Amino acid sequence: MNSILIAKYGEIFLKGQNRPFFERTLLNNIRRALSDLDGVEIRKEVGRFYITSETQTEDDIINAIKNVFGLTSISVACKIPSEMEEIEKKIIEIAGNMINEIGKPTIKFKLETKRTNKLFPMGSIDASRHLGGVLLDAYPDTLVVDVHEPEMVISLEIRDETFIIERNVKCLGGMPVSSAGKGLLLLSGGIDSPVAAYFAAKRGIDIEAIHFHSYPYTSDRAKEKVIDLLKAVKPYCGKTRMFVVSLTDIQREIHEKCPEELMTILTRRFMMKIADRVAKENNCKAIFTGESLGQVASQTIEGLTVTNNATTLPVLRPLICMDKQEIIDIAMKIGTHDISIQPFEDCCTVFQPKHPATKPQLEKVLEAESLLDCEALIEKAMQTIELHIN
Amino acid sequence: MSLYYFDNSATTKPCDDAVEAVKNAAEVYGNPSSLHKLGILAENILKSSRKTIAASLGCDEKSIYFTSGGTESNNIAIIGTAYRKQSIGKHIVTTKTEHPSVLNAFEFLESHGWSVTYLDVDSNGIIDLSQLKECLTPKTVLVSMAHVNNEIGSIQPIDEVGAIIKKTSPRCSFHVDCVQSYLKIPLNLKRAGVSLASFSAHKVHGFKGTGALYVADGVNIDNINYGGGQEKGLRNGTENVPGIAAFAAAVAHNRKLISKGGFDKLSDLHNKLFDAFEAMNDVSIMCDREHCAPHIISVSAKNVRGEVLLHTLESKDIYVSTGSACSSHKRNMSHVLKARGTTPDVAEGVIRISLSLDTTASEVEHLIKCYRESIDELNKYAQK
Repeated sequence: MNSILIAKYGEIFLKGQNRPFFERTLLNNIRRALSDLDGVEIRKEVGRFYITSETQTEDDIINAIKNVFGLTSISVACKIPSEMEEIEKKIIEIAGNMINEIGKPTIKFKLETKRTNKLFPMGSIDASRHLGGVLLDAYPDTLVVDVHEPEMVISLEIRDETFIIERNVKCLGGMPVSSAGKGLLLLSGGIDSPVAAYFAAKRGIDIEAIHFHSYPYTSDRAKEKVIDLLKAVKPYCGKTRMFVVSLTDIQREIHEKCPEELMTILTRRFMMKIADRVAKENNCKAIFTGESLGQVASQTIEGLTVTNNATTLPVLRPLICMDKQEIIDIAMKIGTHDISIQPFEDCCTVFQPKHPATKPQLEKVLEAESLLDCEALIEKAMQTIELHIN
Repeated sequence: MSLYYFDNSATTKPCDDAVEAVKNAAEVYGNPSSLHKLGILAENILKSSRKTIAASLGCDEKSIYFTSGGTESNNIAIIGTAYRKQSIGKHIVTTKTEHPSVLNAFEFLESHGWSVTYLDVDSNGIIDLSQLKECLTPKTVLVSMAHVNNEIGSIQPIDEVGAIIKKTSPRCSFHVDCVQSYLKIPLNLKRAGVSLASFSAHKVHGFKGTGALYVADGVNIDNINYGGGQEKGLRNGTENVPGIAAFAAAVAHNRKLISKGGFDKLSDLHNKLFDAFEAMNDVSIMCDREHCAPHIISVSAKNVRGEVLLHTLESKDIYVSTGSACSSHKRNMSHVLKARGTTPDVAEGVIRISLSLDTTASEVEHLIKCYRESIDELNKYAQK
């Protein structure tokens, strides 16, 4: 590619002394996202990265990194010396290309300049006015100035060198993955949990996943499905490890010994207890779930209180106040929706009671739980763990 | 690992002869339409394969057209007939329990102006011949049905159906989907008055992606795809020579087993299964012994979901299916089970066990034992 890409970041820029840590993490994540593309050079500058390549196309590079959290935008620019004559020549050429592309007899345009190089003889406003004039002279029949509703925008950054921006790609913002440490996500295979993964990663969490199955009540295809989901969120979350745990014996035991209406909530508590152990053994500092208030019986305030009680780690629920439709919209956007809706039984519906308790009381749940040898059951479930790395 | 495969109606293991045939045909990689020697050698493979398939059906080679499988054969037969005969009439007939490749072709025609009669079936999945008689008119141009139902094994009375059509609607074509019955139940296509019949290689130890369509002498149909004129213009596209060679090799393998008493053996195994399941009070069978093909039996155990039982058997290296493999991802009750009047509770529990000519008695005994054990195990935790 002939152009240079300018990848900018936002929120990190506001950090104080630990800014270099965030910048380094972001740079690592960009490098990782580009690992399949050879011959790409990245140079760090204040508040931005410059990316160049002789062998790769700009679109391939943009597609590889546009979902890296922490980046706010990527600009495609051409770089020229900060000399007025050169700038004039180049913007006439670029404006000519843009005019051809738009293909209208008259085009409303705007030219904006950011001058950070104070040695440059003209200020931002004067430079805009002057260069706008240059373009009007070059294309007198086509161009008219309209700074409020332009159809064509030419932006310049006059620094030690000058960048003329040809187009801008908006990125997702957020914080670089890994900058906030590791978190363990309960990944069911439904629509919600992959979206929770997306949000956790967006705030810098390095996600590890835990998936529960109840083979033979659930099928191996359900496991394949969560593996596919992790692949789908890889552009956002990076590489993910997944712990796969069998809940069959636990669910059978609950089913046999405990009141039917507490089946779901007791299962959720066991998931939390196992997640708590796995998290602590693997240095995860919080548990993430895709729960949303009131969505199902176990997701009432009372239900969440009872599940929270099963772990000492913070349980973070990025979707807690979102509507199902809002969650679905994001799932579609990040490409997990179509995988999630494949109809395989998940372990939450196994032995599902007809009327689950919607307002479980902690004492009663604990009383029911005391009928079980929790420690032994959890220990046995821990033995079933399989590790998947995608 | 010993593996107990009872999902032969979904697909079968390719036999050694079929694998060998693919290897040999891969050496003769010419295009059968090419004029040079390599092309002629490839064409010879097609010729001899066609002969083998025709011999197995007791028909002339000219009647055999190679296709990509059962679905394509069904589509060509049904849509090709409907278009060819639309000047005679636009009434076509099938049953409510057909494979989706038939039902969806009929639905396509229905949405394009044809009128369709979908015949009911009884609790064994068998049509009522008087309903067929009543619906036939001079405008009826096609009757299509499967010889053996893929989900529950019901055998339709093809000879009787053929006779009725011949008598009341001589201009009506009769298409039989023989994908499940081929090399399992004898059928004399000519005697039954069958105009068109569909076959698939991978159900008889060949490979996926190959099949055949039988078109009786004097029956004309329109082609529904366009191309270089292969298979006399009925199935355009370069022929799958290795697949076809393997198909013929597999057919020869099956016929060898049949000549050594394969049908009787299959019947014995089937009876063994019926004896066992009939003796279980909590198990119902979807099609009774006298109406059921000798390689399929569909059963439902009370209070045990089919999918869960499938995985329980899987954990013991036994492979069966729920309903038919093509529809098992859908949550709704299978149309076949619905048509025979199955209640939702029973339908939830259905698994299909399907045998091949290679299945052994000890495998069947093992299956019966594990089926019982699995049900008892699951019943301990059945829904309260």
